[in-house]
Amino acid sequence: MQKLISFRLRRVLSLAFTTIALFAVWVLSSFVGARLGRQEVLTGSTVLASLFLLVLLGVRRRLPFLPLGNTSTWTQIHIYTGIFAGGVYAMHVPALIAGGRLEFALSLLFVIVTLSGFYGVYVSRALPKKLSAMESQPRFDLVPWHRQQIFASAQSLLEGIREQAAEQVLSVFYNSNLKPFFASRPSLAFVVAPNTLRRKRLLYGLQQLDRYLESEGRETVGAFAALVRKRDELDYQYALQLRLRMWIAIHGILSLFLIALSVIHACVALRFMS
Amino acid sequence: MRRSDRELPPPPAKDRPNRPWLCGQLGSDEACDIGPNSHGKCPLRHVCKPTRSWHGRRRPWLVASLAVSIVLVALVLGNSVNTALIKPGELSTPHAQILSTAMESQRCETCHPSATESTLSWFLSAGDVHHGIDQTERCLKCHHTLAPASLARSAHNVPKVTRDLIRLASTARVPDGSRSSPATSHEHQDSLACGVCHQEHQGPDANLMLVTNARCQTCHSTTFNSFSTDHPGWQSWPYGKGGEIGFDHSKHLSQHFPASRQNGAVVEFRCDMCHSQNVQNEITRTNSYETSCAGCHDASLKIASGEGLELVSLPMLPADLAKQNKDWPSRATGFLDGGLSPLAELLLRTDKAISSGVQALPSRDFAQATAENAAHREAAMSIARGVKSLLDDIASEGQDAIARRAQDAGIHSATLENFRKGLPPQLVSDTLKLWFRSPSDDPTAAAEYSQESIASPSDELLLPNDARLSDALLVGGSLTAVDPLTQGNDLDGAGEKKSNERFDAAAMMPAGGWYRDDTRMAIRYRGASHADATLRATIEMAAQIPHGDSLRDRILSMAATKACIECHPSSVSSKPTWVAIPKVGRTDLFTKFSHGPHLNIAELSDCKQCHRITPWVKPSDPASTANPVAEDVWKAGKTLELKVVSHTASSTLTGAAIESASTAQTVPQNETPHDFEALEKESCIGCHTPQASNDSCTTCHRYHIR
Repeated sequence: MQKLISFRLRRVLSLAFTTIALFAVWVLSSFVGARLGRQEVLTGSTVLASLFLLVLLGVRRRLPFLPLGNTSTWTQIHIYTGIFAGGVYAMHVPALIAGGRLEFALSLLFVIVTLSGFYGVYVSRALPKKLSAMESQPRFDLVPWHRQQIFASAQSLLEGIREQAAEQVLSVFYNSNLKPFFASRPSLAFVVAPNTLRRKRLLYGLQQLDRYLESEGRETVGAFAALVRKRDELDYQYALQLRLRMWIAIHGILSLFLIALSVIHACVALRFMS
Repeated sequence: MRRSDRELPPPPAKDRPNRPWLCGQLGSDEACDIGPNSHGKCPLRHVCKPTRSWHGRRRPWLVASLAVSIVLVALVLGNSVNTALIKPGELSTPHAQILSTAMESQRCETCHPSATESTLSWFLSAGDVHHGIDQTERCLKCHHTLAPASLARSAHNVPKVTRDLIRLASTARVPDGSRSSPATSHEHQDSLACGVCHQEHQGPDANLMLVTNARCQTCHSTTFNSFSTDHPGWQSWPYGKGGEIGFDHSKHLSQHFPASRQNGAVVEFRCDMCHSQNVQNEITRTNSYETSCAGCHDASLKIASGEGLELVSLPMLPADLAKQNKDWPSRATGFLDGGLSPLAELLLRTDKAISSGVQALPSRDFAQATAENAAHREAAMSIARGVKSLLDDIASEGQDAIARRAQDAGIHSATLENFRKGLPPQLVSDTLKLWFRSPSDDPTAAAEYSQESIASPSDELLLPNDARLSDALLVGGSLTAVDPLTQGNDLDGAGEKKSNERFDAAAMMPAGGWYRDDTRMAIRYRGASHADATLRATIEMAAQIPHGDSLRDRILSMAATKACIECHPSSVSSKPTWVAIPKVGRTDLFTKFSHGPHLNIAELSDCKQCHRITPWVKPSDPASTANPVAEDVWKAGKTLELKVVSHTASSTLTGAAIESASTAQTVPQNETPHDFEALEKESCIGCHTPQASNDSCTTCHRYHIR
């Protein structure tokens, strides 16, 4: 079914609506403040309500059986509510990072969660494109299984070499370079910042073996090279999927703490308010 | 697929996404259809060791985070955390300094009554030990001088009735461009908390007194866009608020100074002669009398104050009436003459017989009474007895007799102090002994008495050759001049030479004081010059006599008192004021101003840049004797400034009273006419803009009125 509105138009409309909502809160806050009202109560309760609304996205994901609208709609609501909450927060606080200990932690947490939210908007749009552009998209939990299969395949490939000269050359290279690569998990550095250095280095090494090999040995080198590429793609998939999952986990856990500190702040503020 | 690519097994079919545990045999043929249970146990084979999925690994973190969050909330709600943890920010420096000596655990409750309660007590309303106590009361524990407790929460610390008067006055002069509408504040104007405007915990350098223009105007019926465009002009501000010193700038500038000469040259009328700049760079309202006034006014003031006061004088009684008064002095016997001094009338007014006697006498003057008139005779007798009893009281009881009698007449005891402390009872006692000696003790008096007793009617008592006919009293000569009459008054009888001389108060008492005038048979006071305490006390006593009472006017119209009042018109108000009250630093006015910053601007260093004196007009036209601008303001009763009046402790009303208001609790402070041209708003808007010297409400207006 063709979409009613384009992604760009939806984004413009959503941003416009968010801007109007922020402006309305600003006008209302100014109105209340100018009339000796508690504008910080207005903006604070708005931020707190927004935080609860933001958390509802996680609740919605855990209750897929309920007819509460699709996750995409909820994600859109989550994103623009987050932007709205950030704007109202700016109206609420005298300084972006507050001075008191609790308030310092709260404001720092809010800023981190907000920034992680913006990062999430980026990664949730950029990474899936990269992942789907690759040949295979293994499920995250099955990555170790795939890794094991590649290792087993490489091991069987080595054992299947019949030519003696090739076996000598390839086993030395395999044990010193390929086996550590296939048998172990990707390094933390690769997971944090995936790159093609390992792949290029190994493929270059395999290519250099050609001069010592006959045709059969060269075919085996080609098969090893194919496995290196598969494993590298698998690690790349793993790194990107882990990044997405880690972001969601950290964003979610920090959001929980944010909610808790916000509730504490609200209670303390109301309690000590003259 | 490349030629060299190797086929890998397909992903296991028995995969269970979103489960916390993965089968330990995943991918092998031994993987079962059931999979691990929620506890990570394989229901079929013990050798199978399920592994956690990403979902399963994340769950403990989420649960732990949730638990920590709940514990955190519970700790704070249960009031179990260190108060320093929940402090939202640093206090302002003054408050921080005060609390620096307090224990950490007690700092919060110094200002926050709720700090001693558990947050859970919100849900337990009954038994709240701090019920009715709020943070504002804690503020007022230290800031109790800011306003009376009853008005601390009222807008501007003034009662509603006064605010209503202010609103009525301000809405009557709404300028163009401003908006008039009902107040829209969310807060009730008689229950404003300190925290509405003063937000703490904003850091050590925070300005707690910072208030926006919008917040200032929220309660006001008339609001303005900006100072320069639609703030109302102040018409006659800052003039017309004083009146303590009666100084006609216009007349001094136009008449007196040009007519004066000093070393042959005309004295220049300079503002700094009377308004000097003090160490705070502020302009004083007045200089001292000695500095600014004495040069021209001291001589005339000495003459006027030398006229002094008369406490009491013996009236002249006809001989038959004098006989009825035991030991009535022969020198006070003759035709009806003399009168009751205003001070004596004040001290005798509680005696109804004397009061009615005073009323019976035409113009309170014995000379206008006739000896044949029975009512006049009775009045004269009662007054004579009253005067004698007054002297007896003072002689026997001393100064307390004056205090008692004055208080009975409604005079406040504090006012009497300066009056009575200078009057020696011995003077009165000796006077009585001298004047009221029996004829047997005084042969001269006895002879006179016997002659006067024979003579009848009383009008004939004054013989043609009577020396008293040349008395200054009869011919209108000055009391201070040397009297041709000579009387032997010495108690010891030793002053035969002096007996022929009248006591010359002007010569003998240049510093003033009480004395006996035997010529007039009076006890008198001679004023010194400026700031005479007895004259001042007399005026303050008279000020306590209600308006309309002729006695008040008679006391205040005496030459000595009149001379004082001429320059100190506020001395006759219910709260006598003798000096010009400085306006700078006063907290009872809504408008504040300091010359200091303005004088730093070169062009404003000339006073006349802002203060222009109205040209003086000769008094030929009664309508133009005063400043026309001020007169207009006076008549219109327009309010330009609000004057706060302090009230007695018994009064429930304290605070500001609009100048045109007149209530029992407040003193109306009408603008006094002044002799300056109106100070235009245009003089200020050049500098007072948001970009320059600030045009916020609080720049020129004070919120807390004391």
